[in-house]
Amino acid sequence: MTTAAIASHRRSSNPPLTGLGGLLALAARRDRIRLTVWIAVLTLMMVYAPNAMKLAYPGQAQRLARVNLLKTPAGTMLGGPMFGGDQTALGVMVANELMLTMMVATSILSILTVIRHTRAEEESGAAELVMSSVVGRYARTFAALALVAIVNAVLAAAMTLALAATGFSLLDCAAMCLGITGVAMVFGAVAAVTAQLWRQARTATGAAMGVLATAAVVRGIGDVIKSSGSAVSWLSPIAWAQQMRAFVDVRWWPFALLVVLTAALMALSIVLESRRQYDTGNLRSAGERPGARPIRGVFGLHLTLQRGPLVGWSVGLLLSGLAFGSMTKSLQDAAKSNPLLARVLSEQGFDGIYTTMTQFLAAATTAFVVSAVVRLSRDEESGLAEPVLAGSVSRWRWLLTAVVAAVLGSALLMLCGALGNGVGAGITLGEASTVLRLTAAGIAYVPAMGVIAGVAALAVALRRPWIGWLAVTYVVTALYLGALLRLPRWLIDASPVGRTTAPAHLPLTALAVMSVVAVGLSGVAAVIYRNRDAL
Amino acid sequence: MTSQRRNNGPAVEIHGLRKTFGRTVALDGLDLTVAGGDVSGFLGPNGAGKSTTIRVLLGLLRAEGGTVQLLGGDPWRDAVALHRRIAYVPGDVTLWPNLTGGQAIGLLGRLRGNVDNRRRDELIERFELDPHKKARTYSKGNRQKVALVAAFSCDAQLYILDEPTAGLDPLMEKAFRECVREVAERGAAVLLSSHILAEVEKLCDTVTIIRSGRTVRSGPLEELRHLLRTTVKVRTRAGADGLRDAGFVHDFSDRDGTVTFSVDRADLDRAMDRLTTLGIDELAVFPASLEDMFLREYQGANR
Repeated sequence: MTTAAIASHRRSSNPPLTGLGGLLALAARRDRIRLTVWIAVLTLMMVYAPNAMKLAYPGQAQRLARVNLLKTPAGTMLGGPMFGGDQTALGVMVANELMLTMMVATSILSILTVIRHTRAEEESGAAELVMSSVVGRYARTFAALALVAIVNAVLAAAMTLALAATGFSLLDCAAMCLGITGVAMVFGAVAAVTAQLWRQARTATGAAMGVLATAAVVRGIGDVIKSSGSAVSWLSPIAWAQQMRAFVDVRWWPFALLVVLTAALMALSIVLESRRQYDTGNLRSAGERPGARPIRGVFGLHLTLQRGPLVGWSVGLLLSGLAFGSMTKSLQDAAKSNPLLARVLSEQGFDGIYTTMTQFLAAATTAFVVSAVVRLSRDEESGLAEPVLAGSVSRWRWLLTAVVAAVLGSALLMLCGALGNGVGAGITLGEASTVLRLTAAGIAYVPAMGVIAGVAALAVALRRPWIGWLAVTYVVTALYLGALLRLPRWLIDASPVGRTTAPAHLPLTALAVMSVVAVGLSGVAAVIYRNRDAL
Repeated sequence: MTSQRRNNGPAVEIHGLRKTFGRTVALDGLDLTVAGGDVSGFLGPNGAGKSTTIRVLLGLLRAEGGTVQLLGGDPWRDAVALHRRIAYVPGDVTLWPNLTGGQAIGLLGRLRGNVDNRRRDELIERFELDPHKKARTYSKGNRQKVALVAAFSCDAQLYILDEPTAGLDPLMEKAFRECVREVAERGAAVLLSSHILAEVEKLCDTVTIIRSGRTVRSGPLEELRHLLRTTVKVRTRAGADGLRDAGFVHDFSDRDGTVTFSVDRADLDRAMDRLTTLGIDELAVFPASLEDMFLREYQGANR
């Protein structure tokens, strides 16, 4: 922290961190269940994943095949850098395959926790009561950061022990887990900064998540350029943790980079917080809009409310699609030196890879779908649903228009992501037809989005919004870690995104079944919603 | 209130309404009637069940027992059709932070149908609301104005107002009272839940007082007032201490020779006779206020 800022406040007898202890206790108390679940799941992952991998790839041959697959550009994007040495050692494989997932998961936890206790509180007005008591200017921000620091310390210790229990050397485990939690601290501090910049919690969360996504993509591109990490990789803090080379040749100085960056971001958050007033952001948002277009009805309201997030998501998906698609060429090159890849490509052409890429874009889009539908639960809690339902609006219309709006939004997003994918692949390969083919393939995922929207509607009807997020977690896990975690076949096959295999195939039956399921789920949700108390 | 009554049947008729939330009994046999064209006050301390009753009337909550009739229909089953004929102002107005006040008013009006645009613009003027600002920049009072404009700009048969003036300044409260009188004039019924007893006294024809989810008193305001004691403040030439033990005198207090007590209407004659014999120096008589009634219903009662 900037000692200068603190010192100057001492002089003015207005200590900026007064009340930090009390606020920290409050935050810990509010989050005790939420954080316990996160910590338990992440720790269990560290116990489960190495054992699952040991079972999945028992022999040297299987491991070598797996490592070769991960050396492909797509594999590198979703895994980590390779440093040579014994690449089939279990520890090396765990570090390579698991670190990125764990870093993203812990970083999301940090971002959500920081925003929840800073900007979200200001937006809801709860912070006003807190700030009116004996509380220093930066105490709320630093209570949130302290909570995140404690969580990450606990996680580092628990995950290290969990991993070491599998039989790895303690030092390697500690390096890997400290790297993971170090990155999580960086993104917690990023959230502390975005919380000062924007007035709305959703924007602040979205911005921090965007930084995280950018860091992940930059790291991936850097490592695709050079598999042990190029100069581009070093632009991303995610690379720093991976460059600690756990299980290969542990070195600690990249960890210091993470610590320095975290401290610098915290200092920046202090500067930004000192330059703003309560319930405002450093970036001004327009308060007046004289020419605002009238909103025609419930459906129009849903569309208007999701417009902002939709714009952000489309840009994100378009860029991710471009990044995915542009890797096709390097994949082709990699096949020259990688016999396994060459065999896969000669069997299926690029279609298998295109399908996987489109499925990843679709998995990301499920998060948008759920957040758009589950908004109804929040509206109910905040009282926003009351004036609508007090109008001449049936519950059916309120819920089902939200589902339709979310599905329409997802169609647009899939179009953007798939267009990016197609353009990226088309340009690098010099095939114009690929653009059209891949863009059309994106639309095939709309029935799958309908199923997810239906599950989210059911979650709203049952007042259990987490069911919707569970569906997202499940889709992502089944796609990304399904084989690695040795999930049963039927469980992986039940994922609507996994069931859609465009552009490799066009499973018309599956698409029809999913459409029916989507309508059925939404219908059941609407019946339940109609027959329960609102609010 | 006298001209062109469209609706002669009761606008709201609730008998023995019950509603529980888990083990909490929110409403326990509540009765409430609002006659067409009447302005009806709905009073009760915090947590008595006023908002729950209103939400049942809006079809947001389902009644567990008793009968509820809203404009001749079932508020749960016929919610959508009935909502075309009612307007609602919540006590705590939440708005979409990104929409402007004008957008919110337009949307709420359109969701209900039958909006009178000319009247809407006139109301925006009357309530001095800037409709071009985004809702998140509004204060509580301004959010309340948005809901009031949206409600009063439609031609409803029943206006349900849940503590509608919380957050309004006295000028806007006056504008609000005018709006209520206007809609009552054209024959609409109004259910006004409020804590501001002076407002209820000024506006309402009938009053229903509830406690712990049960109706404890209801009827025309004048009739209820008759049930209450009148407060007498008097300075007499002879010592008035003898009154302290008179059976018909209540709440007796004596401060520097000025005596204050309350007395039932039936005993007013006797009290005056006694005072005349003592010789009156100064005399002030206060008719029972709603506040007296309210306090008497709740004093010492466990909610």
